[in-house]
Amino acid sequence: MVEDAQPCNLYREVLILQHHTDIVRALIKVDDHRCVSAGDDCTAALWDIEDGRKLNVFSGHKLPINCILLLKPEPGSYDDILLITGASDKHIKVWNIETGQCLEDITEHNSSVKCLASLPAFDIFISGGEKLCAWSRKGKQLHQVENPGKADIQFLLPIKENRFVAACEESLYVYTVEYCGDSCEIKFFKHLFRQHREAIGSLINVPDGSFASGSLDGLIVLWSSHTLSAIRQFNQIKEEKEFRGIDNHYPFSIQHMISPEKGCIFAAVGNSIYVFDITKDQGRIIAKKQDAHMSKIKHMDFLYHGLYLATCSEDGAIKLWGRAPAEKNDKDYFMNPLETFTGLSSDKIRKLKKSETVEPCLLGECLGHSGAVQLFVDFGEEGFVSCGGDGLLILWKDGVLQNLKRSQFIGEMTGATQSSYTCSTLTGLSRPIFTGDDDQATLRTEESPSD
Amino acid sequence: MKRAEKKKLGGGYAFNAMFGGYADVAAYYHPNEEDESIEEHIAPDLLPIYEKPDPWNLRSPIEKDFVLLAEFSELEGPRPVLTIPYGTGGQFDKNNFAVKIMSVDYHNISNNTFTVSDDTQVMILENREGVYAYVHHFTLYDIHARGFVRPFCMAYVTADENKMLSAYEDMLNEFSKVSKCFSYANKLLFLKDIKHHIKNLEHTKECLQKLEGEPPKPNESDSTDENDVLSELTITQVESMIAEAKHIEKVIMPLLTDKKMELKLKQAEDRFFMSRSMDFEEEHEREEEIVQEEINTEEKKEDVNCIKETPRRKASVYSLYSDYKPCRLFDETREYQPQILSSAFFRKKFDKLLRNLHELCPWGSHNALRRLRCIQRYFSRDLATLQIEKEEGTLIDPAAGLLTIGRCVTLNFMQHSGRLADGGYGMSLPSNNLLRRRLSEDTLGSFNSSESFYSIQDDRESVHSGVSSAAEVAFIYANSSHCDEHSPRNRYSISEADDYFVINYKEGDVYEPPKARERYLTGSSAGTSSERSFTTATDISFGTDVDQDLYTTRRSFYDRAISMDSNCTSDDLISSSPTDLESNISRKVAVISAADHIFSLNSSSIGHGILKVFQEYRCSPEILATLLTGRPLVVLGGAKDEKAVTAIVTALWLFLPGHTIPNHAVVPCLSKPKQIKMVDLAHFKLLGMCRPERRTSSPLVPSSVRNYVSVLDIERKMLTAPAYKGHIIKDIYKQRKIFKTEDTYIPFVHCELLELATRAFIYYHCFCQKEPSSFQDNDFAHPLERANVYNMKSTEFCDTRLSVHPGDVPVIEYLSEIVKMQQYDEWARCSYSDTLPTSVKLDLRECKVFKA
Repeated sequence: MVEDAQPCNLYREVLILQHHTDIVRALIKVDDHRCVSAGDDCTAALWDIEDGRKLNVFSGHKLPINCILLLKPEPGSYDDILLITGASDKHIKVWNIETGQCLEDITEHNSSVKCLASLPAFDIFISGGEKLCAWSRKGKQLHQVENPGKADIQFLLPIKENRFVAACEESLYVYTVEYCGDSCEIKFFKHLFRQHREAIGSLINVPDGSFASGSLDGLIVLWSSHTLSAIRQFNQIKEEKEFRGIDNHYPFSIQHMISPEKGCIFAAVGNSIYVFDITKDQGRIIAKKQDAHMSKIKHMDFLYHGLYLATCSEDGAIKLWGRAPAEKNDKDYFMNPLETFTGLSSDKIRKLKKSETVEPCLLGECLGHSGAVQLFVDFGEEGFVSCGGDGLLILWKDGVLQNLKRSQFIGEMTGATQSSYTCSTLTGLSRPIFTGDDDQATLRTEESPSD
Repeated sequence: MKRAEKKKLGGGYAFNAMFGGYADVAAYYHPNEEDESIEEHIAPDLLPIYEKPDPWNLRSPIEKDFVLLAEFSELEGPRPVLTIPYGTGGQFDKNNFAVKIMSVDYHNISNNTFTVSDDTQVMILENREGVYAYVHHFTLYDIHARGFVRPFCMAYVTADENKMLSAYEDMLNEFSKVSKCFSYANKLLFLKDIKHHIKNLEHTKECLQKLEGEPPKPNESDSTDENDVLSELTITQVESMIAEAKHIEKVIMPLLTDKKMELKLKQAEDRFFMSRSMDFEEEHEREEEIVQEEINTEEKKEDVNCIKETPRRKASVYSLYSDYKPCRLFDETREYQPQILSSAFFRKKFDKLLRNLHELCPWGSHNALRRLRCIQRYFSRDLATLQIEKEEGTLIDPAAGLLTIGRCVTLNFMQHSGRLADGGYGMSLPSNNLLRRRLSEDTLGSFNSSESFYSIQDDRESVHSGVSSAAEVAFIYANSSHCDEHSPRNRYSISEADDYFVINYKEGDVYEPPKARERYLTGSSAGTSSERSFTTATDISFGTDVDQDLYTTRRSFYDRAISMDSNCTSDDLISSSPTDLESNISRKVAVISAADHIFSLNSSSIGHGILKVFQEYRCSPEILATLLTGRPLVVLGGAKDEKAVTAIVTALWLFLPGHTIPNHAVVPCLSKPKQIKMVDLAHFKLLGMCRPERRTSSPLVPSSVRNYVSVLDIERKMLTAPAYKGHIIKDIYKQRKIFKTEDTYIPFVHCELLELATRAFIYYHCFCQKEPSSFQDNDFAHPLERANVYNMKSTEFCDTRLSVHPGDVPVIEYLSEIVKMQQYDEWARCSYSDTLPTSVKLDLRECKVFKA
């Protein structure tokens, strides 16, 4: 056989989704088979990611769309999903995602819309920019507060039912929402004590009731959602000269963080990947890949039910990381992403010495974008969608699975195969790799000898 | 009279038959100042041949098959009207032949009452001279002619007796279609004439009745024609004439039921008058131009009357357009003003020049002649080619199952499955549709003005072209020796939606690529609009409503296979879903049969120069393996290597599988290339490029796609491609030493590729269609494991069942994958009526650098 350059890379087929004519900055998953993209060409588009069909186009903005948000209908109601787009043209538009119809065109925001967040408990959404505004589902302005910071609000993160954090430059502000009947009020609650020395680049929730903020200077702060106090700090670089780097390059800047489970944070630190153990005070680094990309990592996430940790970067590449392919004991099953990623059980990870860090192995490289890759969204078995500076959306597919699907499809069409299973059974062919369900785990071990 | 004489001069060689008396002969030899230069205007082949054939060395006087159109002229007797192609059959006595074929049988005029006669067909086997002909007699109707009939016949003349015998049925079918073109238009005109005639007669009758009431005025000065006529006629005479005319009207009327044909003729007429009325002032000049245009673009200076003509007469050959008042077949707006019967009509003098073919069949004759040209081109090829092509014609349907390699029909995966599984439901015979693959392009272009040929958005499309849903496939000519007869645009040119993406594989064009081609590689910046048009209008569609069976139902391929017997006609389709037609998408693509390819190998054929490439590049197996595994190949040359790059691309094309144009495009050479983008990978499989003279910082093959393509750098003599470890391609490569010339090697390649395709066929049916069931069970917890098991099984299957070396497995897999993709695409197109983005296979095999 001919040597395969990337034997562990399953993404061997791509569909190129062409619509946008400028940088695609936002990408959001609607359900298991659809996603919405939006970008600097002032339009948003809805895609079917099974076959790459463009289902709808949402156009109407005059300036680039900065942020998008989905409002799912209340459980039990038959309403369609709503898409909210916020753009530099100071408009917020509400769309029906199924029909493509623009339901509301909100102009009261009066400044460039930088970020959107929904508070499902109150069935409202908030928008951030120069000011903070709260809107009803129908687009009615409920309340508006001034932003105490000097610059625009860049991130909004709901942390508890009635609380959210707004990030503005290096500051974090906590607001509470008071909602009774028709009136809704946003109240400034707390200015979190100044920890970051540079602008915040990432703000995420961490599963165990805390949230984390990461900034340009490399500092990651873990905050308690309840007490709103800083619990821990990681990756502190003391010298300003050091974190600024040469030519203000900020080599340690935090662009993106994910916390797939309790106790750890995966962070894109400059060009590198860091995995922090956040259960310990010192913030031990469990795994680290120095200079994983040629330039800064823009986004990272797990793909294919945790099979890969993927990172995308300004260098145009998407890289797939994981543990080195094992020789014999491939039948080990890991219960969570961190275990899959490192190839070590949680116990072993806990027992790792402080100096020991796992180095992830490069499993594959998905090249295709001719500009920076902004972000990507995972669809598990269906592959993943990436978007980039070249205006393209690339839908990466599992080549063998696609091949099988087509074969099966053709077989059904021509009646060559008698069995009555459908494509969907094949789609659901492999279940998520980590399930806490013991029954299934035993089932698997029973089946495995038959191979 | 003058004109009649000239006409006689035109048909001068027929004087033995028709010259009346001394005066005529004298007129012929009398030097006329207008006719001084007459010799210059006579095609040399029309001058009589006085050489006697050498009886000891009898060869067939026919070098190349041709079509002869002859008529039984009232004035001259049987005479040849035209030959197709123009000026053929030089050594052959066409006059004599015309006399022979026209005298075969024409007794159905003898009836007293008017009847419409059917066409008759005769085969002439002229053994003595080695001339064989299929003769198709048909009758056109002319109000001015004796008995209202103008007997015509078309003859396909060949030296090959076997061809005549074996192709008789097909010729009958095709010539009948031509005859239909002629006679339908003719009948429309005749009916119109008859109606006018009836009005004239009735008017005359009224006048006569008036005259009868009035006292005769004997010595009045006006001895006009009218009065002449009236004086000679009686009311009863006129009444019997009216009865006769009405009878004719009654006979003709019910025959004119082909609405589609009428629509088409009407469109032709409208187009003509529309363009004419654009500028009424300069009408005549414009007409002249139009005529010129028509001559140049469509007629190619061929045919019509290959009879000698004076310059003036020549211009008025197209009298339909110029001095002859353009006939409006469909204009109902103006009321006809009845006139008193002219004496010319009443007293048949037979000295008036009758209408020519174009005048007799307004708007229909062009199409008919075009068909005749197609027929000639089709049948003039070798008999073996004809037969193989006919056989392979059955392979085209269903198009989704068709596998082609190097544009040549190789195998149809679906058809045989139908036969194997069910004893034959999947079979579709080419039936009376033999020429469809060839006619399609010509007739569409021919009937519509040339400008709008590519434009899919053209309105005519929605009106009458039932675009087939299937990836419609058509044969085109491989034989470019006929190039001049084609409108150049048809030749090897595949157009996608205006100009987004044009591959022109015509000599001459190649070296000067159109701008469109350069725009092609703009990647994402090409923007959405062009993308859109690209996907919706993938190809030229059919516009021939004569070829009814072209229209396939808008169902998915498997439905179609089943419904083959029920044979949905186009009419059903059109009436049931007229609105759908607009949104319907066609992907008609030209393919050729291998036989035709071999028959007509020449320097512009696909595969030409392949031996040279092999000689030059030791890494040829790797190059071929690249193409046969679906990996895009970029042939990269220096700034001045355009010719060389084009030559290599042409040669290598022979090994490129797939025919769905957006996915398997070949771009001979881009002289001003842009960087390849990911989007491009979906569209081209073989691409020639020249490095720009000024080196730019960005490489032509950037890192984002470098992993997925093979690059043959002819400047540095280097190939970057995965290593090939199989046997099949190496064998093809090695065998070249046995074959000294390409004429013999290319047929061998076709055989080998067919062999390869049959293996893919088995793989497709026995592995691809059965295997997914074993992956149903959820015992692959890890997707990687599934992939590994699948690859293992595939390799094992190829090894044990097909005895294919593991190194050749990707080839087999790819060939079957092409068919699967086509089927899936077709299904998607039918269900969404929109084209899905093409999926690009990413070949992640490790590349090596080979020195050539």
